Amino acid sequence: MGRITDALVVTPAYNEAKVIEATLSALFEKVERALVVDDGSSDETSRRAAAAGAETLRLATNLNYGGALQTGFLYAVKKTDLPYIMTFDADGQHDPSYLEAMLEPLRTGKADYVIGSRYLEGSPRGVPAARDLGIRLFAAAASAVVGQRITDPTSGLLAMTREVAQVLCSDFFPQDYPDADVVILLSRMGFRIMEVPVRMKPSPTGKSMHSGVTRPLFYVAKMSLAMIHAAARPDPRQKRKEAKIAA
Amino acid sequence: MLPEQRPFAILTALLLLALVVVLIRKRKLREEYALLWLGVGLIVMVLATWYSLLEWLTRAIGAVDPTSALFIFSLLFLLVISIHFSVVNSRMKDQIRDLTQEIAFLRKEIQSRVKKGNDESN
Repeated sequence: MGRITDALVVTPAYNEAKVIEATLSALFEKVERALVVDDGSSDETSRRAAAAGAETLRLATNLNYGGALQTGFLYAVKKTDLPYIMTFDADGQHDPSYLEAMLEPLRTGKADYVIGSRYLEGSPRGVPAARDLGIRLFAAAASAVVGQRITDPTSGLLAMTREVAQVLCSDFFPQDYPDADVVILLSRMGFRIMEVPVRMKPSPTGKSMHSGVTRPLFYVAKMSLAMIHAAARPDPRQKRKEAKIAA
Repeated sequence: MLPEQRPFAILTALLLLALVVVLIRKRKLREEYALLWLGVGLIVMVLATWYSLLEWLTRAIGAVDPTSALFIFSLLFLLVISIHFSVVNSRMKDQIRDLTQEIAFLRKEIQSRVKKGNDESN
């Protein structure tokens, strides 16, 4: 099977110089175009990414995961005419062999937004207990609001249509942790959401944006509020129309 | 307010007004905030000199004595101004995000033009 030519893979990266070449090397076996958004790294992430053949955007300051992702969506919408956009973490925990299966529901028109889920085929290994509990709770809450089973709303392995990416370029897209709240909002906007089973490796760098003591607590509080906000936001379909016109 | 407290209140108001004026002159305070803090300084000055107004305000909000009324108004003011600054901060974060994204696109554009120029000259 040839490489994927109809999607841009967006990879946000913050100080990932040690692993970015290995991640991109595996990625380029499966896709033709990848964009690394260097989120204000202090190391050689963007230089090594460019040397490995990726398109790169270097942010002058750290915008956080969501801000970097959104920059990638903007690039995909403004600078390419590709019909699909995928997101892929730079730290090497995602497996590029699942990308083709994730694109399939988009190509056949069965979905607009595809989540690579670690939970569709049983419990994943290597997810810390507290994080596992948090994901399950948010998944249950998101499922209840969306009205369909969502098992892994925090997954960073995503595929979406160009129209979804256009909508995610709007101001409402969270700059820190775009997770279950985005799933809820997209569903309320009328986009079809689907999950595809994937396996992920533990991050080789061992880093997580949710590590520490205060950050997970803040994350849980912030995400709970964001989910309520997303579920209660009036007239999300109008937002979808506005985003399309703005793009 | 006891008579001996009045000079301190007036002095505080004068110092606040003077600080605001100095900050405006040095262009370290934008006009909208300058107006706000000048207003605060004037209100403190009025309350320090017009004691019966403070007594009336105390009765109006059901406070026990004028000192409590002053504390309540101060806390309310600080609460409102904190919320206002949170709003300003949120807006500035959005603006910084937009600028950062724009700079990233411009930087890429410049790099590709430089590369194209180098390729053509070779």
